[in-house]
Amino acid sequence: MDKATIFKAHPIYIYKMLKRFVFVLILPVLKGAIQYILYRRVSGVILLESIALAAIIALSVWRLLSFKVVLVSDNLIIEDGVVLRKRAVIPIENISSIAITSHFAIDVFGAVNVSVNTESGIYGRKDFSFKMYKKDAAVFETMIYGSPSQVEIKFTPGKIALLSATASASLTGLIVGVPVINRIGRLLNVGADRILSDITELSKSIKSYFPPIVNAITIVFIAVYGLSFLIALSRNMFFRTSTNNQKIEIKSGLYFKHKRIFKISAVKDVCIDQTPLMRVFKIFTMRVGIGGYGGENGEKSTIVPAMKKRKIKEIFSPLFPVLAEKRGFIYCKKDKLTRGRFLMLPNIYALVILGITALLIIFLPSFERLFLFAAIVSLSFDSYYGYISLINQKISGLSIGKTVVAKGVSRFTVRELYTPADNIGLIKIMRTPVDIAKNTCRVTVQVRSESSDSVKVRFLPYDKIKETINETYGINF
Amino acid sequence: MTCNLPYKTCTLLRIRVVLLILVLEAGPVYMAIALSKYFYILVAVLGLLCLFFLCFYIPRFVKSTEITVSNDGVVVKYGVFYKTEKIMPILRLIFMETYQTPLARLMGLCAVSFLGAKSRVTIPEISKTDAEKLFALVKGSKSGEQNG
Repeated sequence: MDKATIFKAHPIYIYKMLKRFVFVLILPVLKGAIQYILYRRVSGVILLESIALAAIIALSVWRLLSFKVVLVSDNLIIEDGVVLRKRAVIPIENISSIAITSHFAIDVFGAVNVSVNTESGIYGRKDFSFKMYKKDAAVFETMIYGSPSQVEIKFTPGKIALLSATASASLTGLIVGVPVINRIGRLLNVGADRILSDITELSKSIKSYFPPIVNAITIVFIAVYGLSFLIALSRNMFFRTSTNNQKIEIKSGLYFKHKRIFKISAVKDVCIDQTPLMRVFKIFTMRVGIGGYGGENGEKSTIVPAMKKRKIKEIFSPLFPVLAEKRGFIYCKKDKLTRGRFLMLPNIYALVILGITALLIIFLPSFERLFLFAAIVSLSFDSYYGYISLINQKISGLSIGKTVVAKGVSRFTVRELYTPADNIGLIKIMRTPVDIAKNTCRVTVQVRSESSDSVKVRFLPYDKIKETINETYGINF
Repeated sequence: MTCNLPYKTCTLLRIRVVLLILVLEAGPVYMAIALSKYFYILVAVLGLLCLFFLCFYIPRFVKSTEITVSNDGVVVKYGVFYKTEKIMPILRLIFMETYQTPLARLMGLCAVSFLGAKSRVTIPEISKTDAEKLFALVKGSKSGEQNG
């Protein structure tokens, strides 16, 4: 019988069990205790709350002591729970990935967060998540994934900044920033209305054709985007990828350190993407789709933040042979008619924007400058949409064989998807009346995994697509 | 291998139903005493429901449940009024889990779940020995399927 290696949870894991009771029980009891010490005054329910807290702490300690992770005979066994006792037996080959993260608050206690993911479980959530001692986590990782990685690829701060800028969004900054500013404002006795009035004063002082509210919105959006960028930068700092040909390790982070490990065999597909910002610098990012990756990063992991495409293929083709295979592509026609079809939606949107702006100015002339600003912003986006549609016509193509490669544009991002034919979960073919008349079709290929990367390729010759699918999958339709 | 639920599971489910009905009855009984005697009707209805589950539904549910593990997959059949069959091919199985409540632990029973990608097949409480046998059988079938 194989020897079992047992790992216990770090004591700090108890915080996860008590987290939900912090505001409803722990703080009121602490407040009651402080009141008793200072003023010799006790509220009516404090005794009941204290008993409840003592019971919950006792249960949490019992749960902490009974938690264990066991590695034996190619199986990972996780036992958890006191009242409802759970025991999961996971074959090691079915583990999709392990993520080891830490931040300064748990680093001082010598602990790390470990999450184990499989293709099962709820999408977007880690299957198993617990806290371990740092040295135990290192042994755990080696026992599951073998020897440490030999080849390491580091990236320059500029490329990491570019990845962070691409990953940032004003909405993220807004969601994170507003509660933080509110809390800080309360601590400093500065109300939110004072902050707003400061922004208004600043925007009034900026002389421009557009009304002050436009300046205010711009200032707020730039500020929250900047905050989002700083958060993304701190997460991506010191980004490096390493491999030993069996697994890939990705490390990043300054205050919040992340380490993600997965087997190359768990990778379902490889995407080489180019966002609008990356297009300016002519570089690409590479990410992989892993079954059951889970957690806050969803199903995808970025392996290369920013690099030239040729170099990406040169370095990673040995690990992902799908990148290197020679293949024939099916492309759409490059004639004026097809170009017109690609530009149809951008033209329609431009007309709609102009029409709505004109109507609004006619009916509400006092807000003319505001509507003009909104129209300029919308038309800028639409112009870029038109430009990227022309790029879409130029590059989009599909190859279906032993490997499926799809090149197209997905929400302003130029994408190349590489995956073995067996990993395709769905091929969707759509034909509008114009497509039927012109014998073309729009093909969407979707990867078989929980979150499924997909690419839509438009205006491909329908007969050729049918023939290729028949040759590869033996399906006649 | 084919197995059914043991008689102990019937007892466990009956105990759970009785506890649940007692909790549900507490409110109507209190209201019947404090407010209006008409709440005794609700008490009686809950009591009849309890009798229905204890004497009719639970024994038939336990009798109808059948678990089959083969080289092809795991099949769980159950149902009193609506018959259900859940089938999980062996190759789609990712991992297995057991659950034990305090009562189940006292009686030496545990519930078993087989998890696949976005799917789960759960077997109600069986004996721990049977659960270990199922695990070993599934593991053996899976490695046989992968090698062959």
